[in-house]
Amino acid sequence: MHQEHHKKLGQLLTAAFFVCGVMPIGLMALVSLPSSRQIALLALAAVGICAASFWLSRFFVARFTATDQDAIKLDEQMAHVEKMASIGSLAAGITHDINNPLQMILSHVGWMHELLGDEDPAQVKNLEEYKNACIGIRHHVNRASKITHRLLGFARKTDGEQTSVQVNELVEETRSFLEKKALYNNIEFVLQLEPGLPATMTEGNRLQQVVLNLMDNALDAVAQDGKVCISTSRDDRQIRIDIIDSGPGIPAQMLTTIWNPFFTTKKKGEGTGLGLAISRSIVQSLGGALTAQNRSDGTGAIFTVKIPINTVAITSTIETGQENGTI
Amino acid sequence: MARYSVLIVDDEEDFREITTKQLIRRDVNCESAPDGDSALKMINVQHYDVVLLDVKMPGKDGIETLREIKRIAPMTEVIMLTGHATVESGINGIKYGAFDYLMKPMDMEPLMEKLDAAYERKRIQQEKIESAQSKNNLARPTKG
Ligand SMILES: Nc1ncnc2c1ncn2[C@@H]1O[C@H](COP(=O)(O)OP(=O)(O)OP(=O)(O)O)[C@@H](O)[C@H]1O
Ligand SMILES: [Mg+2]
Repeated sequence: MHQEHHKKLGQLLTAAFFVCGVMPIGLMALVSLPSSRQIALLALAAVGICAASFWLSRFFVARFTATDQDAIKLDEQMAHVEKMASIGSLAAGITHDINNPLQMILSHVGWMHELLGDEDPAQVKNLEEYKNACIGIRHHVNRASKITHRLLGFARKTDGEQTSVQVNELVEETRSFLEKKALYNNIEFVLQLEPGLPATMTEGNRLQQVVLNLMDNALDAVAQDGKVCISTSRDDRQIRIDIIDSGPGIPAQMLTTIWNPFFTTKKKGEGTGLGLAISRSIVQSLGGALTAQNRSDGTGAIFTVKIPINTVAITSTIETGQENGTI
Repeated sequence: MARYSVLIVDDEEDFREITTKQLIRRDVNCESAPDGDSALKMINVQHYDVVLLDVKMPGKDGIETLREIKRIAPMTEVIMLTGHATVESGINGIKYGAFDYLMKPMDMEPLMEKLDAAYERKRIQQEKIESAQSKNNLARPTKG
């Protein structure tokens, strides 16, 4: 639809430029009854004007198309943010109602497990089986609760308070959360933080959740023995965080699907597939962008977060998610 | 003698009942209340070291109850419980003086760790105050 629109616009523009250019020449020719040399010159000018008007209209149409495509892309991003936010408010609404019964299951089974410890193994034939069943129930309840808690990450916080955030400090702190996991798997964190990065007004907690998700994914991708590098940098408008790992990279056909909610390649019960979907919706709601690519030498993946440098708090353009039950 | 005392405030009867049994087994004195108002009545007449307080209850909500508790028994430590894992509800509670928060569902071990830590802080705080008071008392006769 847009394409056609632009084609017509192009034709119109060409005609307009052409008429504007050729008309005066034609008039001049009529008024001054020129010599053959002048006619040749005028013809040359006419050809020049033809070319110029064609080129000019092409230029304008290209400009329009580009801004239009940007607009479409922005629309799509907004639609994505909206979608995620509505998942969030739905989740916020039901999470309380699900987590309470889950708590009751955990409490009951915990109590049962405790009391089984008092039993005499000689008297209770299947004691070990009972105990194992208790452990199993606990495990699966925890699995379910991981999903409900993850889903809440989508909930748009209406009181999303923006504070002055030092990205380098945020990265360092986030690293400390994952230090144990890295050490345990012999993975080295390499931090390349640009000194003197300016503070930016943003939602620190949510940004940290993003960095945490990406670093956690990077550790999972590397699995054992390798490196995860986090670098920060800036240009005049944005701060950029790159999380680069030495894992296997992302298969080309998965480069778009990884962003879908519930897409995961991890073992059942280990990944919810919500990390990247949540992260992207958070970064977008903070006015930034989150992208993924593979390293050019094929030795791992790069996830890039870009957020604007805000000197004052910005009010979010869209406010959805009625945030039930938050205090 | 029990190690310390806990008051559980939660509208889920099963939760109150089982958690009370579990705490008593771990040598912690434990009572419970189904809502904020009855909890406040109990705190008015009796001392508790730690209160385990559900954020979302019918009637007086968790934060309101927390502020009241901190007003009438400022030394009592409060741990917020939420079935609703928004970070804010926890942080909000901490702003108003809660010791920490826990998300439901949780196992007994993390709950026990938090309760012990909360009581530990309360004990140290109380010791400080007591030693300051006794110094004060010692200082007074020489002054007067
Ligand atoms: N650094 C990476 N390298 C290679 N693949 C990755 C990387 N990060 C993410 N992926 C792929 O994207 C998928 C989706 O990631 P996402 O964070 O959304 O969910 P998850 O990590 O599987 O689950 P959860 O975040 O709940 O633990 C992963 O299962 C993995 O296949
Ligand atoms: Mg993940």
